[in-house]
Amino acid sequence: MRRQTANLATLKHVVSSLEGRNEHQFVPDPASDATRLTFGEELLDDHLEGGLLSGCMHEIRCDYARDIGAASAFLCAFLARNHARSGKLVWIVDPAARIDAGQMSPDGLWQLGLDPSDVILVHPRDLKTAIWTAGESAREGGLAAIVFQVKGNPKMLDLSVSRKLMLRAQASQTPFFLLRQGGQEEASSATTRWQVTPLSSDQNQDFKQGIGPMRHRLTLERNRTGQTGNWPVSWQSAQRTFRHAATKISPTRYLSAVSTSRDRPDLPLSMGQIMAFERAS
Amino acid sequence: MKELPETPPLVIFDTIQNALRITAHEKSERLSGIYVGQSLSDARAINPHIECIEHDYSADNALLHSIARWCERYTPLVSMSGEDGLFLDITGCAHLFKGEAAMLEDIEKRLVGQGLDVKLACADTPGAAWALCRYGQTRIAKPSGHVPLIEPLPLQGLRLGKDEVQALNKLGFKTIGCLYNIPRAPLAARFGSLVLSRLDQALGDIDEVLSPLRPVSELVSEKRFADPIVDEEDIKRTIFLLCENAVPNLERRGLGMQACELILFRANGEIETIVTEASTPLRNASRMAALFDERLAALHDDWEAGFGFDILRLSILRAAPFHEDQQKLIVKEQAGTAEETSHLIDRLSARLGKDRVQVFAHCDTHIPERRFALQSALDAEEAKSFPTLNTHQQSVITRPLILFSNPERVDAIAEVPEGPPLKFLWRKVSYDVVRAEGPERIACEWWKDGRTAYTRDYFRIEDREGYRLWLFRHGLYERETQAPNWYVHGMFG
Repeated sequence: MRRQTANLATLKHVVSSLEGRNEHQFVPDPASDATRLTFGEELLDDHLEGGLLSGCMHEIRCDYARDIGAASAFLCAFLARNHARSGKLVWIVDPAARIDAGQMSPDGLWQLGLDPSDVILVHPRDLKTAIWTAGESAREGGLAAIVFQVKGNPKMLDLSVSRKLMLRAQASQTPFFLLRQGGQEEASSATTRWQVTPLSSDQNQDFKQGIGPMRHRLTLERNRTGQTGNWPVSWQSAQRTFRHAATKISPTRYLSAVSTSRDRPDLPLSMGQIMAFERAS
Repeated sequence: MKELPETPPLVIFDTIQNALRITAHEKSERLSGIYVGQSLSDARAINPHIECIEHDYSADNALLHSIARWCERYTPLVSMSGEDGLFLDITGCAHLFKGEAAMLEDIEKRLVGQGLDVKLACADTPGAAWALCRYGQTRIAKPSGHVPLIEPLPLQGLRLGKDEVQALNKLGFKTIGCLYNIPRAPLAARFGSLVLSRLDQALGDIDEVLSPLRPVSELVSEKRFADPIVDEEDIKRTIFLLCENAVPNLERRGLGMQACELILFRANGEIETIVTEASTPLRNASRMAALFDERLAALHDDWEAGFGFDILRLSILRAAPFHEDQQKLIVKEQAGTAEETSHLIDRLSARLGKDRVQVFAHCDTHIPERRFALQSALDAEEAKSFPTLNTHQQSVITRPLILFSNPERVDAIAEVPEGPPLKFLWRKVSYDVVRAEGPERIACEWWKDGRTAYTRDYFRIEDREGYRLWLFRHGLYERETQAPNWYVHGMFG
């Protein structure tokens, strides 16, 4: 299967060169499986012809502000999986996104598989300097990845800015992720655009009432190099891979609606047989 | 003070011993009959047109400080002397200005040009210079020639208190010279050690230590221009040359730059200071200059060259031993990326401010919001990693990725006494809990919060739509509170 996709990619490359498209058309280099960021789930990786391209900009967005937990957890898990490339992770937070997105916690990062000491958090004063910071970081070659977190669809972050960021990421071969909290779909230069929504978690094998591995619905809304699609995936933290988790998990309530009695005597047992009482009158 | 035309004559007054008295006035023909120490009402009677302004000591002090900063163009060692004077230690600096006389002339010309009234004197000791400046006729005392010069000056020239001067005057000591040849012991017994130590300081028998306003830098390199420079390109070029000039000196001492300061002296007397820091000791001129470029670019909007700058001075405030990277040849690539990253951190910190580029620092506590702090990436120690979690903790997610620094209060329906919440309203959205894990009990830190602080019972919950959140109940039922509040503290993925 992998062999076939490689051939397909080679063919596409040949076709695009025949058509005389310029180099910025994000044609994947066929012999560069190493520069792909993978999910570890064949279904997804094959769909993406081996994974996400490394030296490119990818956008991850969520519809609602409260989905930012899901979107950033997915991104962190994805980066933890692809963190073989040593180097620091620069996480730039637009001040507008900081107000209700809270603060990343090192314990949470650890449990998703990222070393907190590899993360450099940048909190610029305003969006303009945030964009400058993103551009400057994208120029640097030695980083593991860059995450630029913005809120909504700011006007300043237009097509030409995203094009500039994309070109710089391409030149330095650094993966660049635009994390958009509560934003609409917007045209940008990103190679792929993903939407992340939380799904009910998988069954926890050890503890039935408990919360299992996190599940998300990934919607590939835009893909410059192939088709779009959507998949429910769950994160297997022990193996550091994503798994396709299509099985419908019904959100049954594991909590009893009424509290059981605690630390007090049980109900009195019924004593003997209840006889019909005589009529009172 | 100079006379200002077309405005009423200016006098400054202050409340001295419950009376408004004049403390300063402009030098003008229009103010004849008015003198310092006169009461304000007398002055008004003589000249009803005067404009009176109350003495502002803090403004005086601020002005003196700014003059002191400006004086750093002559020597790095400038210190304050009382409320109205400055000491400049010009040892080894005078020849740069073609000698002491030319230097004093230059200082006088520039300060008078700025509208200030100055008196200058130069001598072997600060005490002698102080006396000469205020009471003497000669401006420059030749080397070791200050003793006869201060001999005829009044005793006030010794920086003594009013009472001591009066007492000495009563005894017939009118000039400094009177004290030269009298027995010292009775003088010390009568007036304390101050009189003698001031005398010795003025004569140079004991050293007087001047404490400079600003710490002395490791290295200073500066460039002076006959014509002030205005163009940004020129400034950048000069900064690069200054950095290049400092590098060989750093090399000789085996040091690398950690923090340095660029002082730009404007032609009109103002001073701009830019301080930058580096995460690792630097010895590369272009990298050092790049840090200033970022700061200049950040300042660009609200900063104008104006009349231009006539001196640019680069002082290296802090330097640390520079380790030549011996590993470089073997693992060249890794060393290269680490260096590039530290350079990126330096540049971002220079442009955005060092508190905006941060890394996590671990704190040893169980309270979730106190478990970590954000620390400037520049100050962070190298290679300090977080305590790793054990494998069990890694496979089960128990801590949220996103933590709210201020837990958010929610309205919740929960099992009593210690059950998880069943329903709650957070940010105006209702959450219907279907799964919950908990409670994980985290007790307060009584040594910080006091004994009455509540315990927290944390629950990981998942709602019907799949949102995974971290909630806690603040307080134990009945034992601590009757109506505990619920808070959302974090978001899982």
